[in-house]
Amino acid sequence: MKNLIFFAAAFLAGCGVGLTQAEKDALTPDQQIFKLANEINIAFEPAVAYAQQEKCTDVVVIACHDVEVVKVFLRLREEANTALKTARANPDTAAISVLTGVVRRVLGELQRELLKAKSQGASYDTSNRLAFA
Amino acid sequence: MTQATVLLLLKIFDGAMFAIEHAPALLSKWRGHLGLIRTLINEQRDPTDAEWQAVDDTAKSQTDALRAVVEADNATS
Repeated sequence: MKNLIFFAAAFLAGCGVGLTQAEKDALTPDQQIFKLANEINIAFEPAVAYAQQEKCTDVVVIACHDVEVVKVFLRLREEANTALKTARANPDTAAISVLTGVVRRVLGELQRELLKAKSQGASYDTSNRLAFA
Repeated sequence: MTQATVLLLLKIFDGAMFAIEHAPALLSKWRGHLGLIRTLINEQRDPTDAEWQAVDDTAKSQTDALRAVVEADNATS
């Protein structure tokens, strides 16, 4: 059950991210980029919680992290930042398309890393927080 | 009731408690986000500077938090 919940959290982190055709039609380029930027932030919440160990009280709390995984999270966060910056500098359809591709790839990798962290043994400790067993 | 059944029930209870504790935080962020997008559509406007600033601040704090962990590890190894 704990695994299921953790997987659900990782899934929630990435699900629904992106733009539907209706959103592409209805939203201005700025609104589209803003939506993606917000979703990236939400998707990275569990990753930051994972990295911050017991300081975090939100979404997912893990008392011990693997710094190699955190390095991947940082690289992905920086990639997303760069893609966002590029799209905002020139918010047209082509830029948004590139940004969407980067977001999908980055968040896909983010989810895989979160699940890998879980598979390395994250589980509850006695204070009801996730920890490496 | 066998011991295995009791353990299974305890695990389900444990998982349910985790979901109750953490899912609202994540879902609340999603609700807030979707609500904001709806507002932008309804009001037919682009995000304000303040709204962008909030997004940028979050991105920066996340990046800083991750970088701090990596740098702390580099410093100790």
